[in-house]
Amino acid sequence: MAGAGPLARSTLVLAVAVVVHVGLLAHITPAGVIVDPLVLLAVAGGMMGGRSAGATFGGGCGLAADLILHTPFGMSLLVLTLVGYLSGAITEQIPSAGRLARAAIASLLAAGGIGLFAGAGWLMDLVYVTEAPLVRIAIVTGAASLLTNPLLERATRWALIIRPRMTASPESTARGG
Amino acid sequence: MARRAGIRRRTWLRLALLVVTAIALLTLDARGSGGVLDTARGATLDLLGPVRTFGDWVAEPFRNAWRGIVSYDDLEAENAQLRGELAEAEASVLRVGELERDRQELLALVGARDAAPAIPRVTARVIDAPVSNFERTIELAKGRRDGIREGMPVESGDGLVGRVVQASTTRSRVELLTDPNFDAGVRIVRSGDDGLASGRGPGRDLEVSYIELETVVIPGETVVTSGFAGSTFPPGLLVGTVTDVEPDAVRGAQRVTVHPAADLERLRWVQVLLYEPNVPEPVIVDREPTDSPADAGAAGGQS
Repeated sequence: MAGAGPLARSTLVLAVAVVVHVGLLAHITPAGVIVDPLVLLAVAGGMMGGRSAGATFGGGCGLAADLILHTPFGMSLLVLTLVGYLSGAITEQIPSAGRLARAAIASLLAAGGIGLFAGAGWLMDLVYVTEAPLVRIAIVTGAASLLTNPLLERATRWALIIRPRMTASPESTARGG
Repeated sequence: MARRAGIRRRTWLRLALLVVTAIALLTLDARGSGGVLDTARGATLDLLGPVRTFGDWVAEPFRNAWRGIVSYDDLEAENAQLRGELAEAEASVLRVGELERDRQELLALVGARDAAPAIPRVTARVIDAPVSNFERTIELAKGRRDGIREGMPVESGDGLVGRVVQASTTRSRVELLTDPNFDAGVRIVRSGDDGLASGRGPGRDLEVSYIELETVVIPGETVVTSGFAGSTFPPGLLVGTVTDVEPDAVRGAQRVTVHPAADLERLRWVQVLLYEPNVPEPVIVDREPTDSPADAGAAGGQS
């Protein structure tokens, strides 16, 4: 696998995330909330790879989510593409940040991703999305991102073949995407 | 500088391509022409089925233990209530047996046969873990291989649960009757009035519309499926009981609130009725009650 390209590696990371999601995380529900690892991965992908690779990696996360969820097909693709892109764009604006600061930023971005999903649900008039306990979901997702960000950063760095760095830049985008 | 501009342009192009793809998929899905999408989802459902089942099997003892700890008092109260209900049920079994015998005798007398047993059922286990916070369906550990198809009604021992919205080879998804997209033709048993029951979201009671203002509806009345021609439900499935009635002068009808009979929060096993609305319903009466030979002879004599 060491010689594999970003596509093969990303596919493997996403497959593992999906299996962990449906086999493990669906059964562990802190405060009644299911932590969606694909949202966290989209954020980490954007933060590590920059806006371009982030959009693509987020799109991959979204497509995987669309296959396992029963929301309109394409909704997760749209939302997580934007999450990946925005994560990259925001991280590029922030000069070198420490591990803790990056985790905090990832946490806020993951919570924002839930907000974006709710916004899309509102636009599509999906009552089961807009009437879900969104604040609680955002808080738990943010907390999960805070705790797991170092691991997710490693996974996305490996998937996108990015050398360790503090923040993403447009140059890393060209290499990673 | 030119290189940076090129990178930026490629980034925008990639983003635009992904967004357009997402919108195209959303459109396909909304138009209901997502055959390939449904197939892909069904294949994923089958592929991840064993993982889901294994996760559920591992988690179940822990989940039960946790529920036992946090809701011990509730369980004790529920246990006492269930013992009372069991005693009542045992007493009524004899009475029901008598009524059933009477009913069968009457059916035999008019030459009719019972339609209800003609609908075969498949018992399926509910995978007790939604995969998303925005899930509106439940997953069953049985699918097309067992005869389950989209649209088939699903009920628990207590009453109607919903309908199958996706069936793959080994799995199926059920839309609950509380879902805002759910509606079904229902009948208020006592008055015999028909209406349309619609879901209003998780944890909320159903709303039945089109019940005439003149109809007397009393809280506590039983509501069953009406089984209109073309309905995805056969007649007589228990939906719930009336909890509230409000006249709606603007619509010239009553708004009836119905509490579902099935406990949708604790579904472990359900039954899928292998009922397909497009298939002609079974003929209830096998033969017309014929006139007696004496009557026929009399009629012939008159002509």
